[in-house]
Formats: sequence, structure tokens, C-alpha cells
Amino acid sequence: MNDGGVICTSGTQLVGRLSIDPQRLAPEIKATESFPMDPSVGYGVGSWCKCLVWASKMGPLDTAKSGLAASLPMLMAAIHETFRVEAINHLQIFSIKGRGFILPHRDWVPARPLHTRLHIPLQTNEQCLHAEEASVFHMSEGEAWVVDASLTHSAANFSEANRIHVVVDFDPEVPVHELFRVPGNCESAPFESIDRPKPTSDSLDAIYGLAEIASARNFQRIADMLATVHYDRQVNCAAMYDWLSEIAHRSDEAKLVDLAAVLQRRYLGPFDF
Amino acid sequence: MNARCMGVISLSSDLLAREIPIMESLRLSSCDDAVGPWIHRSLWAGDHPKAEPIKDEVREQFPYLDQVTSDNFRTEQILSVRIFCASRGGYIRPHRDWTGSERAFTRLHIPLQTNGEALNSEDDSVYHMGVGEVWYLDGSRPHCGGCFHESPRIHLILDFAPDIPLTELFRDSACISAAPQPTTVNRDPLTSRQLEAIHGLAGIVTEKNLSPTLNLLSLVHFDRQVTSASAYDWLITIAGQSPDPALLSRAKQLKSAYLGPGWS
Repeated sequence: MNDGGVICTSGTQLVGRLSIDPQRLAPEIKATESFPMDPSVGYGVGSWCKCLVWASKMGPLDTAKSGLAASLPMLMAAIHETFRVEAINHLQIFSIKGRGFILPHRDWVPARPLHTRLHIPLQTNEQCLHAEEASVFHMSEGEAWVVDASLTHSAANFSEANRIHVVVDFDPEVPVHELFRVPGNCESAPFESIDRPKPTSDSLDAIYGLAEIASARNFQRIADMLATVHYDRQVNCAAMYDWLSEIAHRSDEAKLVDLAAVLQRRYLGPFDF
Repeated sequence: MNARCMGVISLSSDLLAREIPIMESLRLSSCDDAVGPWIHRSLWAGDHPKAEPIKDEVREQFPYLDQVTSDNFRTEQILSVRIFCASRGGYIRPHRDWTGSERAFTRLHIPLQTNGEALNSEDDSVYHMGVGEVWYLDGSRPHCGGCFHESPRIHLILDFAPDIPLTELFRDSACISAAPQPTTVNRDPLTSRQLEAIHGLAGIVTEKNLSPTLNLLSLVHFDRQVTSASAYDWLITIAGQSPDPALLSRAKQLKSAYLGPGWS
């Protein structure tokens, strides 16, 4: 990824579109509201949550027969039409009901990708943003984006409206263009990161000043707050972990230094898998 | 502070040990005003005087909680019974439960499982409730509660009709033994450097992080001798330094929403 305001040509990319009519999909979006959502407490802030709709171990992805997928017939049909469903490992709904965000994290390391992950927004707005390293961008409804989850990334909804994505995890061994039923429909396109001003000395003073009030009780909440700064300032979203470490060291609290290291390891790795 | 321990009821650790793992494994509901893992489940509900146990398979897993409720309290005055679980920094933002002069309900907390990092506050006092203690909480004062430990804090919370004297909430006076000395938490005063650091957050505050900033400020009173309501005043000061006038307006709205209009 490059600096904000420039074209980004690696990592996450817009690769195609799903042919879905947002109005006709409305009942299915409504249906997701009753899905048993996992709040993934600890990673998400606010109403960030997710739900497994289908996994390959459940058998063929048949829209009509069973489970949560059965309540999303149009979406499943569009996925069938667009992608090679035999390469799908999981299909999930990621939801942010009103304001919420997920802390910058990596899902796996580049050497051992667990999936090729596609995000397809079903309901979104301009206040719903993604970040990957130093870039911040918006995914529009119906777009299919490959998200490189080995890079540090985060997502947020800064509006009161709901943001709902379907997230499709494919076999990582299959090249991206071959995930499409018609490989020519894969249109790998670079995107432009939203331009933000660089952090000022005042903003860094404010961040490091948190050492004055940091404690074991509020350290996670400091992390939560720092996890939003990159959406307004031109910094890598992973910078928050360096800030946390610096705050902890300045506080002279060994417990906080340990906590900062634990958080960084939890969100950025190295992972045990 | 107005919150007070009214005494201790007898709880069977064996019978609780059967139900607490079920509580911990339940998919509970989150609260809009909560931060982190702070979740709850209703066990009794309905319109007074018809509140009754909710007839579902979740509540039926808690026969001992039913017994604790009906053995000790005048169930005919109950408005609701809930369990609240908090852990790993989960807490509820400082708030008042009602703003007028008339009490909306009388709330009792009874910890079923707790730890030393399970804390509650009222104004500038921070305290800890022990297992089996029956605490009256004054919802008209700014108050807050949370658990800053991995192990969940689980409270049984009973709301009663507001016009019943506290002593008449118990089935009889033999239900409760003498209140122990309350465990209050002494904290150091807030220093000028700390206040400066708090106000310095104006250097990064934006519309996107105003809410997470409040979530952080709401916890300062657990470490420093200030009232929980200070969080809203600090937020207003911070937002007032922003070039975005909407931020100050939002900060004032937050204070009004949680503490009521005109609270100072």
C-alpha cells in the first residue's frame, strides 16, 4: 500500500461486482438482523459482530435446503452465478449495527494464508471505511474486494446506519481470477486511498500524554481510541501498537508494558497457527 | 454515597456452582450504553403488579436463582429480575437511571460471583460488593459499574416498585443478616498533569473518536478521586477546543443523555 491520495496497486483490490439489485435484496438484508451474531468481544468495539452462514463441512452450498443460507436465496444465487462455489471454504455475514469498528489486526501471516477473502458490501454508506496499512478506502455496495488479511487492516462504521458485508473465504491455492465462474469477469482494479493530513506534534503529544492516566483498567479503552486515529490522520493503522508501547513505557508501569506487548501479539501476531 | 449494603443473604455455593457455568455460557444481550463485555439476561418481566418469571428454557436452567428470589424477597413487588455479567473491562457508562424527583424503581444488586476488580461507583465513591451482599443503588445519582478482571462478575439484579420502603422488600427480616463494613476503594487525587493530559486529547479528538474518547474518560474515576460525571465535563472541554462545532454539540448531547438535562 502507498500513501493516501495515491493509487494503491497491491494487497487489497476491487476485483469485480456481484449482480444484485439492492432493493430486491432488502428482505434478505432484513433477515440477517435475526441471525445469531457473534460479537467477537475483544476485537470489535461497539456493535461489530459476525455470523457463519455456511462452511464447506456443512455440505454443498445449496440455497434451498437448510440453514441460514436458505434465508438468503437471492444472495446465494448471485454468488452461485458469479463464483466457483466449489472453491468456497466459508461464507459469513459481518455486521456493524450503527457505530462500531474492529481494531487493526492481521488474520494470518503471508507465508501461510488461510483463505482468499472477498468482501462484498450488501448495505453500506460513505461513513463505512476500511484501512489497510497506511491506506483508507470505502467499499461500495455490490463490489467484490479481495482483502489481504495478512496485512494489518481494520474496518469501521462511523454512521448510525447499519453496515452489512457478506465475506466469502475461498481456497487460497486458487488464483483470484479463477474464483470467478467466468475468469474474464475478474477486473483487478487499483483504488485510491482517502487523503488525510499527517499527524501533528499536537496529536502525538495528545497520544503520548495518555501515559499520565493509563492504567490496567483503561488500557484496552486507550487501545480502542487509538484504533480510530488512522482514519483521520495519514498513518499506518498498525502505528497504534507502537503508540501503546510508548505510552506504557512512559507510564513506568511494567504491567502496562506487558499489556501492550500482549495486545500487539494478539492482533498482529506471530500466531500459533 | 447513597448506595448501601443492606445486609447479606444466605447463598448455597454448591447450588450456585451448578448454575454459574450456565450463566457464563449463555449468549446474553449487550446494552447500548455498555462498553466491552457487559451483558445481561432477563429472568422475570412484565408490568407491575404482574411481573413473573419468564417461561423459557433459559430461565428454567436457573431453579436456584428462582429460589433465592422467592425465598428472600416479596416477589409481588418485583418489576424485573435480571442477571448482569461483566468481565475483561466491560462496564456501563456513568449514568443516572431517572432525572426527576420521583424514583422510577428500587434496584437491588446481589453479587453471585465476583472478584476484587469488580467495582461500582456513585459520584466520587468507588466500592466493591461481596457475594451474597444485598446492595441498594440510588439511580438518581451518577453511577457506574464494571469488571476489570478476566473472570466474570455476575450480579442478580432485582427492580421493585418504587414506593415500597426498602425494609419491606424482604419476605421477612430473618432473610438478611447484618451488613458488613462496605469495601470502598481509596484513590489518589487527579493531578494537574493528568488533567492536562485529559484536556490534551483535543489534539486528536474528531467526530470518529468522540465516543471511544468518552469510553476512556469514563474509567478515570476508578483510578482517581473524581466523580464519574467528570468524564462528560472533560469531554465537553475537549470537544470545545475542536474546530468542528458539531463536536461540542455532540459532547453536550452525550452528557444530557446520560445524566439528564441540566445536570452540573
